[in-house]
Amino acid sequence: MGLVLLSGILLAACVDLYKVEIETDKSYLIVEGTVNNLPDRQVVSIFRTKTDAVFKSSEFTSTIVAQKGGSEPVAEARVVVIENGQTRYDLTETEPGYYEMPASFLGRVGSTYQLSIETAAGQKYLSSIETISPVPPIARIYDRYNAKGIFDRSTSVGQIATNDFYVDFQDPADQRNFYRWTSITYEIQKICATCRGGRYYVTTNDGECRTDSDLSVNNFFDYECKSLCWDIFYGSSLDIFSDVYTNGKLQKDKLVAQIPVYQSNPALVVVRQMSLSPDAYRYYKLVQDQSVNTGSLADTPPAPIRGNISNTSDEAELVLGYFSASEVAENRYWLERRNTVNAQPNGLFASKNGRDPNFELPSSLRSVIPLADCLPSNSRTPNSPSGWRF
Amino acid sequence: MIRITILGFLLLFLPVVVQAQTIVSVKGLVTDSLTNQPLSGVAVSTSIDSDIYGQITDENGRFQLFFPAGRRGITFKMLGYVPQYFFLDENSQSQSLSIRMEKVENQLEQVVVSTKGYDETVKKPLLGVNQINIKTLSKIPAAFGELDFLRGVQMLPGVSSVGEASNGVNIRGGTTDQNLILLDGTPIFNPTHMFGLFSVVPPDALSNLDLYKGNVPARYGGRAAAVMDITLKTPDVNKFRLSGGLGLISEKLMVNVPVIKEKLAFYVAARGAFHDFLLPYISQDLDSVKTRFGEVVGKVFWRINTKNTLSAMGYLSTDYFQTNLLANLPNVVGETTFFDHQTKNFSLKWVSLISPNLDWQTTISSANYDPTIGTIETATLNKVRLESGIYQHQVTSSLNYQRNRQKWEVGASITKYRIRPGILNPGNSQSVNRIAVPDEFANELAAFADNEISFTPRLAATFGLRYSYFQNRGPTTVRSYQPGEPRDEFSVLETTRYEKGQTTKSYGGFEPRVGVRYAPNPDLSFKLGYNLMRQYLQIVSNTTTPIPTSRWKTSDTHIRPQISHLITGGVYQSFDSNIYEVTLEAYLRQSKNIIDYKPGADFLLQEFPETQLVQGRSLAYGIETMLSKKKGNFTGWVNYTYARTFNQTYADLNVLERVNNGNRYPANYDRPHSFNASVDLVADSRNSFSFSFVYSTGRPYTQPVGFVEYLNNFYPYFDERNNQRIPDYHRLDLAWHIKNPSKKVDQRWKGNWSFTVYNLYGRKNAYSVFFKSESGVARAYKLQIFGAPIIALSYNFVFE
Repeated sequence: MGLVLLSGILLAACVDLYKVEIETDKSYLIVEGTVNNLPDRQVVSIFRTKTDAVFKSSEFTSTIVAQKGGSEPVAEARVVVIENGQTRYDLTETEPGYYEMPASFLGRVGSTYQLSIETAAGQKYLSSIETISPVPPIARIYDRYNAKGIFDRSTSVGQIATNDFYVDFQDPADQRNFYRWTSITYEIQKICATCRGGRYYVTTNDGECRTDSDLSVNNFFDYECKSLCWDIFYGSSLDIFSDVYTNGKLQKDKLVAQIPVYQSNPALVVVRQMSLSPDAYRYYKLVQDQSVNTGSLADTPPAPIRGNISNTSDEAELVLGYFSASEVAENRYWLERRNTVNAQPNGLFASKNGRDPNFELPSSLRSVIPLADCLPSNSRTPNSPSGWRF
Repeated sequence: MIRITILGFLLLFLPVVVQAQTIVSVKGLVTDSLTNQPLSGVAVSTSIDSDIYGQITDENGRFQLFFPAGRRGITFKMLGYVPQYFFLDENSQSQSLSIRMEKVENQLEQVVVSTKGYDETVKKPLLGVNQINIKTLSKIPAAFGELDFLRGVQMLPGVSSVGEASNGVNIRGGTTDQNLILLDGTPIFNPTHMFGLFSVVPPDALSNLDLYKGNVPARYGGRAAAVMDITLKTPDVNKFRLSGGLGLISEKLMVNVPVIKEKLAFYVAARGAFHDFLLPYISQDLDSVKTRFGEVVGKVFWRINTKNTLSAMGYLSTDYFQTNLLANLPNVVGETTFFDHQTKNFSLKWVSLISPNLDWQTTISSANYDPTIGTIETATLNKVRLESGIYQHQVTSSLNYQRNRQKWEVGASITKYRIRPGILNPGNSQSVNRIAVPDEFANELAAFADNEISFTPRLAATFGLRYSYFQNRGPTTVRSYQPGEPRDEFSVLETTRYEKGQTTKSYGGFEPRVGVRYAPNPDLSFKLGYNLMRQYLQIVSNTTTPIPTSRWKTSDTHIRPQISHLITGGVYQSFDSNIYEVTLEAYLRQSKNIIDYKPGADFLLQEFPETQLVQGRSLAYGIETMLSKKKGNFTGWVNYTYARTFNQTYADLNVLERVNNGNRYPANYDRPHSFNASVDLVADSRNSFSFSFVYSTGRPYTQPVGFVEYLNNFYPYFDERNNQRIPDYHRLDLAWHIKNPSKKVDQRWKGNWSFTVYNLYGRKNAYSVFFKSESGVARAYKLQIFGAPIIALSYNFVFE
């Protein structure tokens, strides 16, 4: 009995939310970017955190969230990726702080890459030289329904069931390998616009909401999509692995992604298995230890993590983030979602917003309700992703 | 009380006629009045003029004194017992005595922790020595009713820990591995079961515990901060006894069997906790949790003849715990983590009485600790194990010589270490390789001398000197690195191979230990002490408290031994015939070559741990005050400690290797203010109540200085280490002990109940505060080990 009670205490009743308020007093450059071998958009983002940001646990859920303007884009910088010490690729700024590799660029296994940044203010930053090491293909991939799922703040319920993805892969024996897995999920979205206190109108360019004084500010009207439309979700987990204990062996049943069951519609899940350099692995491992693998009885006390980007004239400046170069082995997985429970067809909107869509009905004002445009962005696309089954 | 005072008075004024020509010899046996067990360590003394003829009874409870014949009294004193006196007149001849000493508690008087050591007549000049006997420990309310010496010592000033799941205690600013924990002379490498929740000594066999946190006698060595010397009971050669208990957590049983009366006896004591098969019936969530632990200790005592005794001790301890609360074995695919560890200690002790004033003790011991961390592969349920181990073999021999006003102990010891840093054992796994890090070998030789001397009744001193010599030995591979650069794969200059028996690096040095005591009057004393201690074996770990599988590492070419200097001063005042005592001690401790780790350090299967760690210095200081009431129906103590501990990495390190930029930072266990109170109240001959209260400042943790959106999540980033503190800790516990509820007297079966409530007002004390990034947001959490009152009932019995 005693141990039963004890284990109960050890397992469940012992973690509580804790409220903090943290004021920053230093500003840091944060750089995120990976070059790879895929014919895909390859983006380097450069931001600077604000000196006087305040991070505070929220009243009810104690979450600490990114603040609007908590960091500012570093715009108009000159960003260059140098391949093998010779070829220079100039990156184009597509929106403030986001710099895109030329569309023709494809990273090659064995080639080296280095990121160079010169800010508008004239400060120069240089990354270490990263080599793309090869990655083996995904030998097998399968999913398993997980009713308990994960905590997902973007939903109204918080805790949400998932489809867990597992992979097998054959680690090459003749080399040291470091891995990282990411996932991208495409979900069908039926609702393309929401107007608060107004109505949707089709214009020459994009559609827009126009405020109507006869509607309450708390009135929401939702509008169906004009065309097929997909919402894009990027996995937020950090999954890495090293073959230090497993060199040359077939690895089985490695959990690499947990995809929330927002709706019962099939979805396309792109699972990427990427190679990492040893230093990139070490960097991500530290990030993981300090913010994911925490809460054990014996944590490693956190410490500043040094990435691979440094100010050429001030070695001591701490730059956050890591510029890495990877080969990517991709699996585009058609997730049927036949085995899910409680999920609704076309329920993505309801899962995310905590309410069913409220459509504007034909009225004396207008008899035909317009359909909304599916506006492409980082998280939405009207173009069918490759691998989508109709 | 009054009786003792009068007797003492009489002793002082007995007219003494010295007849120096005739020397008489008085020898005898001292036993416990109730159990008839021989009592060792009883101070036997008689005083003539200013000379004290004294001796401590040996392991068999025997003593022999020689002194000029005359009218005099002999006193027998031991902590926890009522002093006994024996009177001789002018015509007394040499004779043999049989002294039966009565325990104080049998007189409804209580004895609490004494800061004075047990022999007041010799007036030990040692400072910072606490002796706790098993009776005191068992009165302190314990979590789940399981008696725990580590929680007991934390009620004393100067002893703290990082929290309830701490794998050991921190004494005067030392790390947990800087304490030498000895169980009947054998070292204990992991003092806890279930990650700090329970201590590893079977309570029934425990006799007492000496805690040396100030002056440490020179016979102890190898650790830099303190010594906890746990003595097990000596088997009773006269009486069969069965004792045991049932508790919320465990069952325990002890059998004492005399084989040959007065000559040979043994006991076996065991405790086990194996209730986890019930878990799934309570909740399906607990299905994957498995936990069990236990230990068994056996001891044999053989009185070969009047001059020689032999005792042997064997101790085994085992632990298995499957949990999701500890980090799993990284880079092995699997979802369940388990820990298991075993300790196997043995010792053989031979005591030979050469002359009444001289004895010779020789101890051979071995200690082995084997921790394993493992992962269970999801599909096959195969266990992948990372096994490690430490073996220590030791021979110690010493001569003890007692003279009029002084006492000598001179001896030497040889210690051999073998460390198995790690073997990854894949079991039947198709996915994991077998990887082994070569064993490490080392020797430690030491010679020591302790001298206790009283110059005048007011002034006494102890002088101790130890010389220790350490050799790290082959077979091994030693790298050399580019000076001034971080030690890593890239800065290796050359690699040297050493064969078996070759010494790769040696260290050595003197370790002086001095204590002086000045007592202007019998109730007041001042003490000063200085200690130097060297440590050649330590834990290298990057966690807040070492986990059972943390790696032990001997000093080597790159890892220099830890050296600690401790200066202590104290004032001790007793009032009211020693019923009350007030003490004040202050200390300053400076250590060099303490171990710190680089950010991201990983010691698992690391053949060259020097690439992962850095060394530095540590500064600790504090003031400890304590008021105790030592006798009566109401006993107890309150103490307050102010203590600080700071660490700093060496300045000659590369910028990238320094911790906290090379600045001083508080240690993980730095808790400036602590206050403890422990009270025991005897209501009547059956019922007694104990309360304890603890308060301490929250320990430091590292709070992020900001958060950034990165890799589709929201991550904290950090700057200075230990820049914030978790909430303060406080807790009240209660125990109600009911002795022998049956009213029959003289029965052979005696039972008693203990009802304990740990954390009476259910404070959710934080053990740690941590941050987690979850689906694009971050949250702060606090981890609590005991978030609610824990009520436990236990039953203990003795049959004899």
